[in-house]
Amino acid sequence: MSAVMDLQKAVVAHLSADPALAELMGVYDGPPPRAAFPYAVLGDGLVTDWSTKTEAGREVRFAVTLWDDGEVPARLHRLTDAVEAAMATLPRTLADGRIISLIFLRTLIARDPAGPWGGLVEHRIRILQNQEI
Amino acid sequence: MFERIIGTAQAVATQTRNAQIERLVQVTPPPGITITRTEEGVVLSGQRLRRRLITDPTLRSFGR
Repeated sequence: MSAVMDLQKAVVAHLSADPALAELMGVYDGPPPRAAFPYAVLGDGLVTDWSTKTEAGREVRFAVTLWDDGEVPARLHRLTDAVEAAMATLPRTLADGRIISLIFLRTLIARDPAGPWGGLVEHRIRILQNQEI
Repeated sequence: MFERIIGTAQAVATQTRNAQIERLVQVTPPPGITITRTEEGVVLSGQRLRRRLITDPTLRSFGR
């Protein structure tokens, strides 16, 4: 369903344009081979059917992961808050569909002893695809 | 006054919870993760679990 791809593109554009996320060195729709910290990646999410009798729909567990190599997680906390706020204002109209609901699910921040700080912001997004008439 | 209704609701809730616990312990966990049954639900354990919750979508979607 192309609406899911449209959603990814819309989120990349929306987060990239948000002034509160100007600290981010990039917003990627897949793991970047080399990227400067901090950066955001749109993770793979669980996609399930949310169709009605008359319209094709999808429910997407949409995860934005943030990576930062700072000494303390303060910047990552700030960025996860900014991503959550930005997602709430995501335009509801997509190129080939529309967002019916967008619900915040959870944030999580963790650090691997050998790696950077990782942060997760997850939403449940329900989309209906535009119908051709 | 509502004791019977409360008792019935509690029995239904317990039955539903136990059915959910039974369903979850039958799920094949991601590699390196173990599922343990408790009275309240299930506990997932494994190395670097919090970190894996960030990077592993299958773990995030456990039980769905």
